[in-house]
Amino acid sequence: MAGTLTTTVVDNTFEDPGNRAPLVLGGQDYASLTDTICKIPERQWPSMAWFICFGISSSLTIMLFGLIGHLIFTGVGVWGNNHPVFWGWPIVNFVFWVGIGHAGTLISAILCVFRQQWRTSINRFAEAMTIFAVVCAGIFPGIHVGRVWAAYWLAPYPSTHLAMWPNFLSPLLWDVVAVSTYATISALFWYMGMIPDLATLRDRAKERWRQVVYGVLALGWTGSARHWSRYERAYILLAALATPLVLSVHSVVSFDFAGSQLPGWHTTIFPPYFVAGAVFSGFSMVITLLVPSRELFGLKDVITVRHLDNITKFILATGTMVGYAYLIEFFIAWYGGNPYERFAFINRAFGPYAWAYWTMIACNVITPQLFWFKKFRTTPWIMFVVSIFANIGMWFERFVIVITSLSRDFLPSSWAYFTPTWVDIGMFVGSFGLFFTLFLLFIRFMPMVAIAEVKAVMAHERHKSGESSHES
Amino acid sequence: MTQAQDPQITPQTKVIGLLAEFDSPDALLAAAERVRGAGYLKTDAFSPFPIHGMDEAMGIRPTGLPWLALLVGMFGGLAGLFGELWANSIDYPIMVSGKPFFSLPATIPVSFELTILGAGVATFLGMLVLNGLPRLANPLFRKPGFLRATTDRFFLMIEATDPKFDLAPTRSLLESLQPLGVEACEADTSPSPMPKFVLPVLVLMGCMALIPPALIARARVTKSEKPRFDTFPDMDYTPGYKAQAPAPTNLFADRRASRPPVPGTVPRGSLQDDDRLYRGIDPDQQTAMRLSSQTGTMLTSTSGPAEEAAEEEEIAEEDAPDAAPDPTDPEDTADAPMAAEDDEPQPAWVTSFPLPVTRELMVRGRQRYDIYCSACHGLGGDGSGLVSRRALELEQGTWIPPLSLHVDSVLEQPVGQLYHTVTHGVRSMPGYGDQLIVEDRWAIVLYIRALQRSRNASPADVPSDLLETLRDL
Ligand code: HEC
Repeated sequence: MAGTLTTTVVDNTFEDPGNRAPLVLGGQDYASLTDTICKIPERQWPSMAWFICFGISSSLTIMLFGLIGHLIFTGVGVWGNNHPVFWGWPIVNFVFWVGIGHAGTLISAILCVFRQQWRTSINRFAEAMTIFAVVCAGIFPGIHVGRVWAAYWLAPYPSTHLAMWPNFLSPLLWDVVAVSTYATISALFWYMGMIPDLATLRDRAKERWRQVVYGVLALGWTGSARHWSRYERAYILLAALATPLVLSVHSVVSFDFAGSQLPGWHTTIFPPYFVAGAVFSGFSMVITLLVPSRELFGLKDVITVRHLDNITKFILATGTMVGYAYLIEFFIAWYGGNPYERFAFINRAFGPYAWAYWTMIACNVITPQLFWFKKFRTTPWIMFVVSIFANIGMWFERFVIVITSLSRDFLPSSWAYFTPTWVDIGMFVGSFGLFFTLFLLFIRFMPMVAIAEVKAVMAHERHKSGESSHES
Repeated sequence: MTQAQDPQITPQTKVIGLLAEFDSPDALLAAAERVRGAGYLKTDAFSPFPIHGMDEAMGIRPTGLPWLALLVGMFGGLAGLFGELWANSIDYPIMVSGKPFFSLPATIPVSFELTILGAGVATFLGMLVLNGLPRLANPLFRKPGFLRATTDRFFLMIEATDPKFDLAPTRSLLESLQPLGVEACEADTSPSPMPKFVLPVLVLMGCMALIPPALIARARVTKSEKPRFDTFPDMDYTPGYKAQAPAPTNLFADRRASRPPVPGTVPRGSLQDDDRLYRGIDPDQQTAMRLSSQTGTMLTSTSGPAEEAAEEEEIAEEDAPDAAPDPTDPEDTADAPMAAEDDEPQPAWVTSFPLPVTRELMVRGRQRYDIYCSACHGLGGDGSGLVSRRALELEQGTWIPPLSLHVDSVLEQPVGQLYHTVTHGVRSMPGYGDQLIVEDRWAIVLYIRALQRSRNASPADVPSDLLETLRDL
């Protein structure tokens, strides 16, 4: 793919305000860029590597749904959730996946509002990741309700069966609303951004089925200036709407915990701390996916080292914020003078789950500090490794929050050590299968870079370099 | 594509516009400005990406989309706010640990999310609708060259509906802009027809989609004898045993399906620990009596328990405010119809009312008596109630006439015993404890006392101011 293009290695990671580093390298023009990206979904057969990955991930997906069936027909007893830890891995996994789902909309919305043009190369990718992560996240609370067939009781509808309404004072219900709104808006945003690129695929399509499928999905987009005008307005509106939404979703998720009275959960720092953690984990997952993908699909000119460099800076910043939150939690536990709170935190760091706590600290706070050095910010394989650590660390963060607090009840007689069952582990692994299955399908059939947006950035850069005398 | 080459322009095909092709956004922008300067208004530009400055160049007015988003967003937010207000504080108030039914801060998350949801969906759909999308058939797509409009080519179109449009001059204007080419765009003369099956299938699907809502609507207005259809029966039908039916021995050793309460447990509200009120028995006297009767039987057997009980009553009745006429000899009672029971020891009946005697209680007692007792005992308590009279008329020989409440045996009964009679009945008279609450039973007893007194009243019983009027009668 990329072999057809002459790739010149240019360092675009310098910071010189007077001379902006280019965002697209390799002397790409509109046609070659379109070609680079559209070739990926247009291949007759995907590569062997794709098939192997898909084979693995889809079997894991089947395992996930098999286990869900096992759960539904047997009961939630198949999980390790038991007194006093009633929120076990399912909720850990839920928060983990929702957190990952924050990077996409953050990149496309918040960075769009702040006019960070480098986001255009990675936003489609990250948005897709967001949606698939939210899908994985949504499964867990859905099956955690126990009687899955009554999950619709969460919805406020005038029911004759229950003759009552859900309790809107409960953060758990806010969570349902927040996560489903987030899923809807993210999906709309993703699809809307994709319409022009789907039109590109439609216009390039040779096979009839592609013409029909992409034709329908592109909704008859022509690229009319009058359409672009409204489209751009709609895009920036959605970005502006999604910006507070992104921040609200993980805040609301944190209310699930902060709204309770459990020591270790009942803290006001939770919303910002959760949002920072979510951005951290989301960006880490972006790196985890991006580094191999740009390598495999020859997208190094579009997703340049500069993009990766910027993402790692985000990881460094949010990782440090998370570390700060860990510190403040401890400080408040001591300063607040509440013996239960103090116990909860000492127990976290030195109790039976100390191994999880220090894994979390090592992965989330210490490893990202590598990104202070430019060497690490510009070496893809190192970031890949660090991002894996961050993913592990963020899973453990949720594990520590959920399990350590619950396992130490107010009544010492009910203290217990949580052990997951094979179903817990299988479902978690299976959720990765689902995530990657969806992601591989996305890469196979959809444009994974926002072509139109990158072209607009290219045009902007060309315009500037061509008419810099005119501008000054 | 070379210039000035318009194939198939025949009188049949209707030209809908002229399309000029450019190779850069800047060229398109310049051309758009020129065309607008020349007075053309019905123009459109096509580009693979939005071009900065195009709106000004073409004179595209800002869209009203933000207003739509604001409106629908506000609607979403208010719907969230009032929905929560309605659901949790009006229609079905849920009390959660004393928190208020409605508090504004608690509605913020949901209202906020619904604001965003409304505004976001409105933005997306509004953009599509205002742009006239989806529009899958477009004559422009018939131009093979136009397909590059989504890749790397830029097009300017002047529509034939523009008042200034005239094929030749417009074409020369466009050609003067140094395009890659100018083409006429024709209306679709042979639109590929929709497959024949589409319409019936759509209609059929539409009709079928109406079936479920119709069934629901019908179910809401009709009544059915059949039990509700359960998708998931949950615990609607528990495999429980009937209360009086035997259960398998592996469940409970005694094979009783329903468990007796644990000894010593009292249902809520059933702790009737005031013996005076609930049973008409004086507990202190009772224990004293039981002790003395025990010692009595142990030491001497001269005085029977019945005599002792009667003696107790005598003592007690002397200090009762509404004491019956002179206590009679215990032997007299033996002549009364309760002789059969006389062998049994009588408990220590209370002799005073365990609840305050008021005018209200008396009125209540009269009313209850008239309802529950007068049918047999008669309004005056002489035993001449309607039921009794009718039964006597029938002369079946099985009827035991109700006792007059003015016979000595009744007159001398302490109030506790009367209360016991009302509650549990006596011999052939049924008890009224199930129909009457405790206070009403005492009220009736009070009224009986009044009835009895009325037969033996002296002028001293009448208030002095009323005495005068009585004399007149
Ligand atoms: C169904 C007819 C009937 C009704 C109604 C009725 N009684 Fe009687 N009552 C009788 C009969 C019959 C006797 C006599 C029982 C016997 O001697 O076997 C009697 C006896 C009595 C006695 C005398 C008990 C004794 O110790 O000798 C009293 C007191 C009495 N009733 C009170 C009441 C009161 C108070 C009510 C209203 C709550 C009432 N009765 C309602 C039929 C009735």
